[in-house]
Amino acid sequence: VTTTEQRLAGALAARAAAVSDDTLRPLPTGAADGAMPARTWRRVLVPVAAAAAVLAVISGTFLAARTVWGPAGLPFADVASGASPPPYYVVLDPDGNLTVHATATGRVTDSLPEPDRWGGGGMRLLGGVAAASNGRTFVAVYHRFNAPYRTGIYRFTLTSTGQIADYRLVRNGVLAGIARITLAVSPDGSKVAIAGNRPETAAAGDIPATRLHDAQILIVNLRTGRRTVFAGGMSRRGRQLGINSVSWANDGRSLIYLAQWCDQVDTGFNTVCDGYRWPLTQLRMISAPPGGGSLGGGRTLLRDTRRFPAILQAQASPDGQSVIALTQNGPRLSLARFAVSDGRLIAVTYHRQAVRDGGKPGPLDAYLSIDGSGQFPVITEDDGTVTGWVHTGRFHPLKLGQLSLWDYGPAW
Amino acid sequence: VSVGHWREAAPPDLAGLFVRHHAELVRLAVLIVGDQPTAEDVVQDVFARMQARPGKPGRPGEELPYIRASVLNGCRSALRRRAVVRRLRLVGAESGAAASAESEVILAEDRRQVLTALAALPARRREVLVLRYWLGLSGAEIAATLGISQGTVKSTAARGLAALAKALGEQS
Repeated sequence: VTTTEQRLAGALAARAAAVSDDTLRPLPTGAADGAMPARTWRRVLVPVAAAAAVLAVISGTFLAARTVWGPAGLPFADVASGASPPPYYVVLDPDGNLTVHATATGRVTDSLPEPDRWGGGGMRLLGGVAAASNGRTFVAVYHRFNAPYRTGIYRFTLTSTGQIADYRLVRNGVLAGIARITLAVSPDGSKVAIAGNRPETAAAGDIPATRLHDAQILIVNLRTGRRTVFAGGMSRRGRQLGINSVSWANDGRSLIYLAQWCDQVDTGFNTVCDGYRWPLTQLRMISAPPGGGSLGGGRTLLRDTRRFPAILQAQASPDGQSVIALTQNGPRLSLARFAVSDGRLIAVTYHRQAVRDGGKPGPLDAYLSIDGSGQFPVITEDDGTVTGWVHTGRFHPLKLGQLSLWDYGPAW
Repeated sequence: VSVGHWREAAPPDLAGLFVRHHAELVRLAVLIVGDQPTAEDVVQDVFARMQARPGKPGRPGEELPYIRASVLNGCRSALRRRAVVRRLRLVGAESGAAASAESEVILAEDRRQVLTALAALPARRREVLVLRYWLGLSGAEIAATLGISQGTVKSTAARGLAALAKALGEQS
């Protein structure tokens, strides 16, 4: 038992003991007659009415889109219509279940457990799922830290009824020795880029490696299994490099990644930096030739600024002209669009207080994923207790039921 | 605690469950939401719903895990409502996160630090830690209560403890 466990058990016992039996109120009389108290009805009615209104708007836009453009052709593409978001979203939960939900209702249309045959074992770590901007190809990555860290890459498509199809382990798709991953599928669905850090020490039992090397990006061709590495060129004395998000430019030949230099990269979890000191951040764009290369090539698109002191995540927009960034300023989250050409701010499309109600002073664990149109970015906060898409400045929650997410948001 | 208000049609074990576990469930909710009035609302809503739908849970012996899971769901909803209220800058309208004057006296500074750090964790990690370190549930019991696998319970607890240790400035 560690000191933390002892302190926690003591604090919980003391807080619980402060609740005296004498102060507890009995069940009110109204409940005995089968009638819920009015307070409860008000609490229920207001969110139900709001949810019904949102559902009606989403359903209406779906119906309109289907009426105007007709049923989806084959192969099905899970893309937005411009007026409405993609019809399905896919999540990978901490149990390794891949689940497809209908956007309009949150209903689960298909679910698939983590396959055993990629040779997982060991404790689960950050996994993730990502979609190509063509809306056809999805990639799920399972991640565990048995020794060495192992990563299994699967690809699949969705049918027009939200079923997982053509699900298979990618050729050469079991990686060893990469921790803290984040991923992106190329626009044409032919490649996946996986950013992560190689462990400097071995994992042992339930304890992850205590130190990691600087981050690198690995590109895996989803058809041939060929791997390409981009590493080096970004060292800073006394700091470790982590990559918090990666995405493909719309030409499929360049990568845009968010580099963060920390005192020490977190070894087990995707909070990027260990501790609470703010990292130094740069959003960089590099070309991705077949032979691989250095992370230090290319150019810097964005740096931390006074107005946007912490860039948490960034994704290349499919328009090829801009990047969408999730930023934090104190307790405030913003979604902002910046020009690829010169890094100037185009627009802040959404902002609000972060949902986390605790007092953690450092960067928030918040994640950004975008759809093939770039018009419906998804923000995930607080282990997925709040996940939703943003459109025209409004936040629309996505339903996950009893699921929680850890370090990754839904893909669509 | 009076249970004389239960209607005759209610399953007899519900009244027994209320007598035996009400205080424990309120304490569980207090450890998640941070204040007693909200915790009591949550537990009350759970029992009221069970009374209205006596068919749940399905099998004998599953009542307590079911009620615990319902209480934790209710706590999550309460925390979301609180977050919305905070975003609307109506903190004064529902300032339940603040500890009562009584608990301020009872809890030492170190314990308050631990509870503050615990409150900053994501909901699932907080729930796993409370179920393990206060209720003393096994991995299998926590998994059944939260509807997740035992492996996830283990790794969620490890992540929660690691985050807690960081927040408290410990090396673990």
